Amino acid sequence: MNNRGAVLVFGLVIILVLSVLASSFYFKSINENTLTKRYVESIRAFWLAEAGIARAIDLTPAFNITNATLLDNNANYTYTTRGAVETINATTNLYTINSTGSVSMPSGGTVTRRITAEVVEVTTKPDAGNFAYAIETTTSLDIRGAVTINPSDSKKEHSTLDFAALFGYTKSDMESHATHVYTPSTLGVVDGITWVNVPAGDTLTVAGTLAGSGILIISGNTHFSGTVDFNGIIYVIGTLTMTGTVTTNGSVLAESSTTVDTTIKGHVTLNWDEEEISTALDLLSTATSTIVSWKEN
Amino acid sequence: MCLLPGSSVKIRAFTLVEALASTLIIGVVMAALSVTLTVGENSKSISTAQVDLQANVRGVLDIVARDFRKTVTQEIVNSEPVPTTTYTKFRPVQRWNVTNANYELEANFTEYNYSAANTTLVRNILNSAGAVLSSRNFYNITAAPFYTVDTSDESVVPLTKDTLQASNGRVVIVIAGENQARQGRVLSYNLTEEVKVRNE
Repeated sequence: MNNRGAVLVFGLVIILVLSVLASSFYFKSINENTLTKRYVESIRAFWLAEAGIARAIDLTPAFNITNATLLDNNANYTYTTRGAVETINATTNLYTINSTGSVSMPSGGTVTRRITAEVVEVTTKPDAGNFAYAIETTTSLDIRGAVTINPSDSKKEHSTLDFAALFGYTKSDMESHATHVYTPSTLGVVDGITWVNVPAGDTLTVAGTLAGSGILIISGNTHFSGTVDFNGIIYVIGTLTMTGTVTTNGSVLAESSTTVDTTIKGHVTLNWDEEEISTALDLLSTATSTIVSWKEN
Repeated sequence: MCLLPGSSVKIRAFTLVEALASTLIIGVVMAALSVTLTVGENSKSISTAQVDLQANVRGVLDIVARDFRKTVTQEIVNSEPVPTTTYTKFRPVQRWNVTNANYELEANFTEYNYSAANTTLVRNILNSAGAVLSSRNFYNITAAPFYTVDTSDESVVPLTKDTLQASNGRVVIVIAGENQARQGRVLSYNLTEEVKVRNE
């Protein structure tokens, strides 16, 4: 009997046993590695879903953009509004946001977390009641000539005008948020929020035609000698003189002495119009969103 | 030396010395192998137990944290029995009720009950009458899991209705687990997560 091959067989058996042990440990480690990665990616997906909620709220009131995706290194989030917006009252709406955070794993498969949040959005804007007169001035109001004010008693002089209290913005904030910022020489389209800076000692003279709407703020002395047709709010930080053909629907305010004189050149009609005032103030509306309910699906 | 009949080939047997020497060598090799395998097996056992323990603790923490996020602070604060480091009961928020301007809660309660004696954390789903609809046990949990934060110094304090109220819904979950490896070796591992109850 020849036993010389016994060592080889014995060696192979030992190697086999060690291999089984090593592979068992290896696969256990791989499995744990996968589980750990899945756990990490699950947390990542959760915060991506939270980011989707925050992003949707950040776009308030543009919730009508109902679906958006951000791709980021195998990860993305999507958010959607569900169904119709529920109106609580004229200024308050309830939105439902569904947000999904997804992370694609290199080994295949996707980890997702889903969150549903309900958001109450309250829209606020300055009170139209702050603008209670067709014309309001901080000093004397000198009315001469053919001036029509509707209603006839819709005027106030020696008033106290607080810009920030009226509009909810300081003058500098209003200027920085203006749709147009002009000087007398660059005066152009007047709509939205228009801010005109008049150099000290100078006067903005509108001798031609000015037609516009929204909120017109003139920082400096102003003289309307031409044809002015405006819907909304005119606020003059300086003296205001009207001698042309001026028609306003809304409210006119002047922080300094105001002279309304139609005896020389023109015809002035100042109509207090609450609807036009409200429409103009829509330009200053702000929406505050608050999450009122949150759940993970 | 031996001669087979009719053959001229000589076959030598091992001498006694050779047999003893080979036996000694094989014995040493086997002993070395045995020690190596035993150490390797122990190492594998400990690693496996450690891995299982960590996965278990992570899984439990994830489940508990998800439950707490979905409720509202007042629901925990006002629960009966009162919340403690070892007991909480609450209902998840379902949606916002526009008419009443408050939360609509789900009908069933989620209850956590920790037993130090059994080192077990039990998660029950209860109906409104308190009957257990489903139950799940998390074993080998070695410490009370529920705490909150003292906002004056950000320290972790035991969960009570007052401390939770004062923290404005910050729940600190501590999952401390242990697992037994070979030769009676006990492994321990714990994770802590602060969860903000999302509904105020």
